Order: sequence, then structure tokens, then C-alpha cells
Amino acid sequence: MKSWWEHPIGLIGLVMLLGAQYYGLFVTPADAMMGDVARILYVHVPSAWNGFLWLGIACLCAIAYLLSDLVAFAAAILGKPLGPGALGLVRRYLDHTLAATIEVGTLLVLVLTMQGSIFAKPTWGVWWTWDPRLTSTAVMLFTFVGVLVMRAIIPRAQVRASLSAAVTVMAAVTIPITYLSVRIWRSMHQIQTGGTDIDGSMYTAWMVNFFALILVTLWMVIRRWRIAKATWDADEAPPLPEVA
Amino acid sequence: MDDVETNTQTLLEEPASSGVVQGGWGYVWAAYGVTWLFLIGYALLLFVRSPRRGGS
Repeated sequence: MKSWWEHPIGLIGLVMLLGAQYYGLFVTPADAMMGDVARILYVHVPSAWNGFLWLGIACLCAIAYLLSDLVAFAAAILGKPLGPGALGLVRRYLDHTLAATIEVGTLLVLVLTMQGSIFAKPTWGVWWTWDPRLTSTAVMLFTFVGVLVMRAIIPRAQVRASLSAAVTVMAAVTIPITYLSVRIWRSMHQIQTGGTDIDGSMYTAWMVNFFALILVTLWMVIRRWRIAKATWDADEAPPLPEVA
Repeated sequence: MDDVETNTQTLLEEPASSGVVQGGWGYVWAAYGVTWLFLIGYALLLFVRSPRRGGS
């Protein structure tokens, strides 16, 4: 079952990440206003982008899973119920991907929040403030932690998959709100920066960190996907015969 | 009145702030440390939780 490319992806990502962080820490110039503290942004921004990426994919999986529920329901209404094998494998794989991407995405949002808190102290003078961006990020974090907790306490695989897909779609509302919070409300957090606003070496450090983190977290998603598959198999396995 | 004069004098004697955040490497190391702590910790957790070969 294990693919030959699984570990090389993680390894390449790891080497890229180490190289990009060395570049960001020791090669790029200090920021004109924020000084060396701005080097935190080389891990902070890629964490945010990757967190949004994986949570966005989780939302797409959830929507697809709910649509498959609708298709199965419509087929049953029309008197042509789908067999267990028709959508079963696709639905299972969607749920495994949902489980993996939500967990990795939530981990990144947690790391992002802590990095942001550390960055806030020397630049804003406080570890935390109820700024719109920080507040919406905290709400997003706790919402997705709630989805993970819900998945952990529902024992039946099919029920867990349907419910968590529905809840994930609702939780995903927090993603665009968090992203746009700096534009919708008056926020201390700076708005999104384009590549033309900063030194070329800083942009390089950002982008390489971003792609490296994609590879590292893709490796995590694949590993977590296998765990989700094993959990589903265990949940769906017939009970052991009673000993006479 | 004396207080005002004293405060004004103090402000004039203090060097003007450049507006640039000075130092801060400790915060940089803390942010990178937290990042690696969680990435490595989660990776280890995935190895611990991974299904055994030949299992379900």
C-alpha cells in the first residue's frame, strides 16, 4: 500500500524547509521598520497559506461527500438504490482526505496563532489583543478543533463521515472571514503584501518556505490518510464471534 | 509648573526613537522553535499512530 514517493516528498520538503529557513534567517536583509523580528514572517505567512490550503481542501471534500449523500438519496427515491460499491470507495476516500486535511490544517492554524502571538509582542507591545484578524483566527481554530473533537467521539464510521462533512462546511465559513478580516474591519494586522512590495530575497524566502511546507504537510496528510483508512476499516469490521 | 518643565527637559534629553524595532532575535528563535516543535511532534505522533504492517 505504501507508495515509493511518499517519504521522498517529505524528505525533499524537509531539506527545502531547512534551506529556506537558513536563507530567511541569515541571508535576507533585516526589514527597514521591523528589523530582524520580520524574519518570523518567513514561517508565519507560509503557515497561514498552508493552513488555508488544507482546510480549503477539507471543505471541498466535505461538499463532495454531502453531494454523494444527495445522489444516493435521489437514487433511492427513484427506486434505483445504489449498491454499496457504487460510491462507497469514493465516499470513503473523501472522508479519509477530510480527516487528514482538517487535522493538518488545524495544526498549522495553531502554529500560526502562536507565531503571531510571538510576533505581536515586539511589534505591537502585547502578546494578544482582540483585533479582528486575531479574533477571527482564534474562532477558526476553535471551530475546527470542535470538528476534530466531534470526529473523535462518534464511533460509527458512516455517521461520523456524514456529520463531520456537514459540520466542516459550516466551519469553513470562518476561512474567508479570517482571510478578509483585515479588509472588512479596521485591523492592526497588516493587509496582504504582494511580491512587488518587498525585497526580492525576502520574497524568495517566503515562497520557498511556502512550497517546502506544502511538501512536508503533504507527507503528513498522506500518513494521516492511512491512519483514517485503518480506523474506518476497524470501525466497519464485523464483530468477532463469541467464544462458546 | 515645575513638573511640566522637568518632563519637557526629560523629553528633550532622550534620544529620538528611530521607529525601528531593535533586537528581537529571542522572539525569532522562539517562533522558529515553536514551529519545529509542533512539526516534529506531530510527525512523531503520526508514526506512533500509524497502522501496523499486515494489520487492518
